[in-house]
Amino acid sequence: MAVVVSRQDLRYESLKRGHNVRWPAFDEDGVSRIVLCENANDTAQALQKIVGAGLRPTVRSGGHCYEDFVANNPGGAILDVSLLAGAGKRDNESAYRIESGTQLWGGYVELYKRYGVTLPGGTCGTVGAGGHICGGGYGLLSRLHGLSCDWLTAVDILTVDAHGKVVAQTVDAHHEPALFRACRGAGGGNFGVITSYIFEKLPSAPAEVMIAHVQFLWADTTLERFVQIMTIFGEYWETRGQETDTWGMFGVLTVSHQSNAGFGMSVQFCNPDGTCRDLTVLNDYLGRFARCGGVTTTTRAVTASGSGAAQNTAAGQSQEVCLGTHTVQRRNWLDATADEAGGPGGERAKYKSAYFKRGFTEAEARCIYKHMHRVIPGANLRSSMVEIDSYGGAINRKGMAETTAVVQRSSVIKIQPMTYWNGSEEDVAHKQWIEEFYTELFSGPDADPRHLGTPYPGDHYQGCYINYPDKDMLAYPYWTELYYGVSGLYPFLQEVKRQYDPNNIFHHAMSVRI
Amino acid sequence: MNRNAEAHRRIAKPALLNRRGFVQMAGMTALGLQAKGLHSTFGSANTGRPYSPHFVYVGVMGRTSGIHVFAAQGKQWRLLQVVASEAPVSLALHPSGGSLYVLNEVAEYRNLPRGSIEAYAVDTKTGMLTLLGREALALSATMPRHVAVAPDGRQLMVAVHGGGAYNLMPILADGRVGRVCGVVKEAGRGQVREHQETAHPQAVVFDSTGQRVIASDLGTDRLSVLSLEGGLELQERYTMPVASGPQHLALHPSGHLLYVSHGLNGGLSAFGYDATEGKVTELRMRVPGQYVDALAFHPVGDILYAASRGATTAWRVDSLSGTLHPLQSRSMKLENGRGKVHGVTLLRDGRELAVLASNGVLRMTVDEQSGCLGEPELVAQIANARCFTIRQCEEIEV
Repeated sequence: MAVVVSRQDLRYESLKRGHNVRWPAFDEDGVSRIVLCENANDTAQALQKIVGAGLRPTVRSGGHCYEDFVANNPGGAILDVSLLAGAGKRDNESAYRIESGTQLWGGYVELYKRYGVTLPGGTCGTVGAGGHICGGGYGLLSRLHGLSCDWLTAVDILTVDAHGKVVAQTVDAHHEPALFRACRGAGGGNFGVITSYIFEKLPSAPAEVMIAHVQFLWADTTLERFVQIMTIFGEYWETRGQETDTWGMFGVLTVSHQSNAGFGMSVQFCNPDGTCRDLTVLNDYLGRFARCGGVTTTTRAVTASGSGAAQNTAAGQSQEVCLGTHTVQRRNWLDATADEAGGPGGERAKYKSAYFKRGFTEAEARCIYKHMHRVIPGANLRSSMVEIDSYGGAINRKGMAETTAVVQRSSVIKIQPMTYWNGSEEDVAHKQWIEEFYTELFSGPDADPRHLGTPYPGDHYQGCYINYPDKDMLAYPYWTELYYGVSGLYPFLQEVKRQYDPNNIFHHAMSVRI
Repeated sequence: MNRNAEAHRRIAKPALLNRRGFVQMAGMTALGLQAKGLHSTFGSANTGRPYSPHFVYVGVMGRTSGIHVFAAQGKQWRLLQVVASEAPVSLALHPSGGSLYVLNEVAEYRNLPRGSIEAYAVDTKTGMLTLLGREALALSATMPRHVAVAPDGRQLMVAVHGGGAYNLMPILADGRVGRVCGVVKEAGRGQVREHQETAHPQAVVFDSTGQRVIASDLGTDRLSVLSLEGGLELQERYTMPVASGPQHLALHPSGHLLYVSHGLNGGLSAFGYDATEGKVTELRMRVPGQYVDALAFHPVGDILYAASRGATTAWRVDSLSGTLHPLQSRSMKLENGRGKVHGVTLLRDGRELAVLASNGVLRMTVDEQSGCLGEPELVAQIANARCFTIRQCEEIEV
């Protein structure tokens, strides 16, 4: 039986939004109810009720959507599947099944303890499987094993037919293959409600991994040295990093704003067989950074937010309160508890993304350096950064672009500019910082002059990642080409949309348009 | 007080006048509202009394999309102002007459798939428009079709043809439109492939309580009643015969009879409407025949005018049973017979009827005794006219 949280319910304020607390931006934008479902039948019944009442459903699993796709739904209903969680095999079934509300960390634990396998999924443990896998699914083991969606063999999905009737079905490469392909990377909130992901096989979890952290101090990092670091990083992943023996290595270089003491790179390594018997590759890689000031430690460079974040500090919906002579903080209980548990609290945030088919040019490195040293009056940019992830390896295996909905299969780096802040009074400054940084980065001498300001697919770039959605890209009439390429995937997805969601029941700012 | 009793209380049944009484009152009004220096040349052929002056707002599509403002009295129509506006498809005046709402039939507004609505301040003396602001409809509310303002002037409702939805929006104290505060998203289809692939809401009309909206959906053959009490909610459905394509609506001034044009198989249907329950009750009469492009009641409520490209038909209405009896059919003179009709309205004193065709405004006199129409005359030539609304005014400066 679904749990319905209405506006009068004490839980409403906590549950009306996701982790990015920018939304709903206005009270009117908020939903009229949140419907929490515990199983697939609940979900189907709840969806039917929502559609029958003329409400717009937006679907939530982990609540990590970067944009307003879920929380901005005036008077509508959030269909929350976060209680629909678990990873394992059903009786008499050989396939692994991950329920869509499963948080990645919980899924890893269950799969590991029961079967010794894993999903090559993301790093943030509270991300829900629901949005993660259908948007691609990318993490530390992706260079070794590909994207999460590459392993997917079927999904249980609820769609709404032309008459407004909810249809529950299992789709795979043989049954409704177009819809199945669309569920492998086109992004959530497009076609229906996925209740389970099904995998015939999953890769074995590595026996062990080596973890390294390389720290750079801004005080020691001149512009020339910064360019050198970026060049070394880029060249490695463009060349040596695409050889098979390196696929078990994943590097993420987090360049933080200079208001932090420094920035750093984290590396996870194992050999392709999941062992750490031969460390030659790792040693070679780390050695390349020693000559430009990198100090290898066992301690991660802590950034204020992002994947390198330590426990969030009183972020999000907090409010300072004067209690006599004491200053205390009023907090949403769920956020406060999440902080105590080391989980994500709510913050205001803005993200962007871009795929690189080659390493960084000097102009690009200089641009990053410039914006990491930028000062904007009234804005605390301490939590502003760009995360630069290694890419490629198994992700770029031939044939995956044609059978999934992720076309970015020739890139070697993926970057994710991001900025976090607490108060709405800093909204404008942070959005200005990230937008101007991004626009300038893709307006340099290497940019396609017809698509300035964007990583338009070409020799150098390969667009953006739909699971790091950025509504700013809608300003470009070719935004769908940035996310879905130029080889016909988007028209294919539109056809799938017409067939399986003809009423456009599932929509958000960047959903596939009929 | 229970809900029904409350609804009863709110239903302010208009004291329906008979035709003689209305004409006498209209005459009194007209005498008190003479146009400065114009009344002698704008007199009624029937009585010699001057026609009331009006400001007329016409939405024009195409390359020079905008709102054309006219000062009109009798046959004399003078263009006062042209305001640029993107794809104006439906216009609605605030009950105070102080603001005008212009629905933009667009598929995208500010890079998102949605339509928009503009609010204009109306200068009550000059009729001139000043843009107050443009507000986005809800996401996926693409290609909206029709807007209606609540009788209390606090909200407006939009029928979204393209995106298959209804949007409720507040009207702010200064006349601007606030953020969408309610959405009903429709699902469903009909059997006519070309027109009924998905829901296509066409028209909305507030019932006599002002707290509910009756809506027609050409795509699903449904009439819906939406409640505004405590947030926008779908209250009732009425399913019309397959392939009807309910399109234009006219609610009888009594509030108890609903007339619906069939956009797909032609003609009209009359239904009972229970304003207490907010429910379309039963079919009273089906009138097959030509396609109807617009409907309007005479203010008295005894005649329903149905305009189409071929003719404007006057139907005498039995206000108890709802049945229609043909009174007159007046042939239209559209450009080469190819033009379209987009609207019809009675001018406020009920002695003139205006039909909006794609080439401009056709005016017909309305016989004060019989309600019969005179010969149509093109009083304002406007290419690509798409919608209009009329505001009576006290005087027109010349």
